[in-house]
Amino acid sequence: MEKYIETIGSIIEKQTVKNPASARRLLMAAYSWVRFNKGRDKGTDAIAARNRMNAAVAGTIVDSFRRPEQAVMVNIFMPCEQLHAMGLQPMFPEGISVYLANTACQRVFGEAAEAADVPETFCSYHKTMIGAAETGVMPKPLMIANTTLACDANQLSFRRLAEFYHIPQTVIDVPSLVSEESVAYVADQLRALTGQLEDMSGRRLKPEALRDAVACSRRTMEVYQDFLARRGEVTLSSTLTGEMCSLITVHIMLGRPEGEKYIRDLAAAGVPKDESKKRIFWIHAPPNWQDSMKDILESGHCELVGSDLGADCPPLPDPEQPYESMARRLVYCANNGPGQRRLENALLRAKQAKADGVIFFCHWGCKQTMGLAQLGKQMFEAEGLPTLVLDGDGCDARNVADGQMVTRVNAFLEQLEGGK
Amino acid sequence: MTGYTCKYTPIELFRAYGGQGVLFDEEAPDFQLAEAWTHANLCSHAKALLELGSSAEELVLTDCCDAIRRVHDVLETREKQRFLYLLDLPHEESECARARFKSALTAFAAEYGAFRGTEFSRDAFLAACREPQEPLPEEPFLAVLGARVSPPLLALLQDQLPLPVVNLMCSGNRNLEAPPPEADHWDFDELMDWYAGALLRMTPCMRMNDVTARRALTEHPHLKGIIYNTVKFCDYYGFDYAALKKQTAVPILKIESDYTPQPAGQLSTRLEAFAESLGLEAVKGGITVKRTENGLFAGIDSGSTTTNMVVLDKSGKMVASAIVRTGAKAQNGAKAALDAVCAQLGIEPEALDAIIATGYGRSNIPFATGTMTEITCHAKGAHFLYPQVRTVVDIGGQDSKVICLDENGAVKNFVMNDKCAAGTGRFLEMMARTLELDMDQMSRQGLTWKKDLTISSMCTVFAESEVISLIADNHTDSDIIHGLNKAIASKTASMVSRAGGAAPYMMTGGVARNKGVVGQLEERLGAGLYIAKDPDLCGALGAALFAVEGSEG
Repeated sequence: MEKYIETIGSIIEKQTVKNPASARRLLMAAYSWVRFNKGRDKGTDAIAARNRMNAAVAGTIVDSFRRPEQAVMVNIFMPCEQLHAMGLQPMFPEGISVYLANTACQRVFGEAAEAADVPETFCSYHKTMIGAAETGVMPKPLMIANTTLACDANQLSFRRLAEFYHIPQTVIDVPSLVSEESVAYVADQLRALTGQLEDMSGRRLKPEALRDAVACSRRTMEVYQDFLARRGEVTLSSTLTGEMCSLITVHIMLGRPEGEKYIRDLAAAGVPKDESKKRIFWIHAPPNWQDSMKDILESGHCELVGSDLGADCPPLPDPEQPYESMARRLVYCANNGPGQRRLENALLRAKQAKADGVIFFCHWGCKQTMGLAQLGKQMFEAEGLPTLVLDGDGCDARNVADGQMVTRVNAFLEQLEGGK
Repeated sequence: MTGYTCKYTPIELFRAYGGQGVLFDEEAPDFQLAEAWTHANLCSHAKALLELGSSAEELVLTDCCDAIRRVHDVLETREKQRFLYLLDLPHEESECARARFKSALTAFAAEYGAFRGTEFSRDAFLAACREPQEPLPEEPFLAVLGARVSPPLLALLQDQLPLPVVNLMCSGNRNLEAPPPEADHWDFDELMDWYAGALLRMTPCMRMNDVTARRALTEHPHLKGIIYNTVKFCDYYGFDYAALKKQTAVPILKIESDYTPQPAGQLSTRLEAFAESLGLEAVKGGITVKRTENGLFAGIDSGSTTTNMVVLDKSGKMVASAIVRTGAKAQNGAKAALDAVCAQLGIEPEALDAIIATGYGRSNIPFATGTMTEITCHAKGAHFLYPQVRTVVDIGGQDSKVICLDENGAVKNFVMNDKCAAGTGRFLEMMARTLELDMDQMSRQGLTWKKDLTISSMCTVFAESEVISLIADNHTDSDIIHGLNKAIASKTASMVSRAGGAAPYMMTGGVARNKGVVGQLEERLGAGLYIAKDPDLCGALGAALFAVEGSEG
């Protein structure tokens, strides 16, 4: 991490203890700079596309902090077309945790959460966001809307934050049974959420605005599905942060024009496949804060060709049935139901991307992923994809044995090299 | 027999088809298979289920949590069960959720009935639903709340605590309401409609959306204390504990278990200290005092690294003390300490009126005339040395603990580290070994740092690997030690916060001699730490003070 970022991070950590409002202002200033600086990139390659999307996401964080009374806190899987159509900002603290890690100030929030009895074994994304809220750095939003998908952490963190902020919370209960009956059950809950959003914000959701947002989602996903199907034929100057951008785009930012543009730019940025690079498919979200992993995976010898969380493609949305479309995205999500569904989707995407190997990243505290690691390894290797089960943390350096991770990943790449 | 793990499992339906539910709650000696099939950091109960339950013929699971969903995934691929089912469980009890759960129960009933080859028996179903439930005691009792505990651990709690211990854990508080009389005439569809609602109306577990009804568990007028259990790598109940301790005035002891046989030592210390803090008689055998003319009273603190002994006269003045290495056996260290103080006083051991033992080895000291936990003894000693103290931070060899006191020196609350060595004296010893320094050098060199290094890892093993990397990167010993001191201070400050500690603070235990750690901890706490001349002797001093009080009683 660059020295100036470490310096800013250190100042933010100190201010978090002494003056949380000041820490918040510093974060907003830092992310406003990202919005301004990265948003100016006019390039046509994947890095430029990523820079512009990174700017859009950073801008969303700034906007949600600047006008929290017009922001709704959501989890990463929550469909947000209703919010986009109503002009409400999504405040997505799991993403904010990633940004905090990349601003070298995550530690103070993880420690604050643990000091307030959040278990050390809890997911670090959620632990960080609890710390960010309870230290007073993350402002009080209008309300919280979260899904039970994809993990137990949602049930714990968002309830705690609703109690902390004294704000309403709506939980969208997603049945693990993948069926149209489940879609109807979820769609009814999403309809009820519209009423709650209207009551809380004093705004009205215009049906045509929701239809437009879902139409934008459909266009985005059409391009994205086509891109994923062709991913194996191209090489991109991909980065760990780029993969995070894709993940956020096909979830929180789905239905927003910035997301659609990013996916279109990404799809247009590919160049003919570079056969010399080892192509890695990632399970879970990559630790884009970690220099050592970036050094390896963004080097000229390696290409990150996708991640399962960023390559989940449920049925295309239908703008004429917005609630059922959003519900279907949740119910048919690869992370819903038996773990076999998630693994099969990952295998499909890894094969489409012509991956040479898979890194099954066991993010600290993610029982969903860790519990599947060995099943995944067996399945992928049976299909000819060497797989490394790698323990690490998507945002908290305290749970990482960096040297050991480097050894493992390098040895895995050597193994792939030997297999070519 | 059909195995199950979650209280929302429709065990009354098992009976309706001639089956019988058996709650799976066993401990495993190790997790060799489970960790080979999944991951080391999965919920310990789920791993025990994989380890021992994978050979069960019939198993019905609910999608109650991430870990159990993964257990089902693994078992499904292994195909060892004749009947394996995962029931889709809603997160709320709304009308829509009830309708969905009714549908899930109906689907389950069809599959279970087909497997058993039997028809639904309304009489058997209603009889199972109407089975009387054990009422809560009409006398003072303690409750175990939180995540499930294994039967051996529950038996240990019931054995060691001086009041009846009631099981109100997630798998224990299954308070299904009885069906109404008209249910005798309902058809299957009507019964399932009622049953879905009745299951969802039980005292909620933490995976449900609305958990407010859980607070009723702690409002019984005869409830005197709560043992709150969390299971390693199950996060649900850590959150409930955090909320509960803010909301209830009932004293709480938090423990963590991991579905392997528990080492009794540390748990016994906590249970005894908890009973002592409740004013309940938990001291095994009490305190025996000989009425001699000598008026000499001893306390001996048998720790993992050193054994410390203090002798007081009748007025409470310290007349002898010793600090010796414990060695491999607690009784050998204790004998050496006893010999040392007797030599100082020129007396035989029999001349001591009473000897109270404390510390993890307290039960293995044959010459002790009574035992008391180190929690209570540290509090006693700290209050004697520094009456204003409200929070004692004790970092010993294998334990670190924070004890909160009231104005009379009585224990209000305490927390201890769990099995992890991070933040203990052992952590520093391991790091000193890696740096090839002794503990005095560690203490001195940590003060002369130039670069503000941070050791990221909390885990002792990870931290050691990080230290090795820092050495390889040519960082100075002083800077690395400073990073280690900060790591210990951070861990300890977090414990202080969890315990609700407040100034004035005092630090005891061998690590209190390490000026680097002390300085960092003071910075984190924003207040000074009072350190007595011999911080190692505080526990033994408290024990000796109890011996003196025993002679007065």
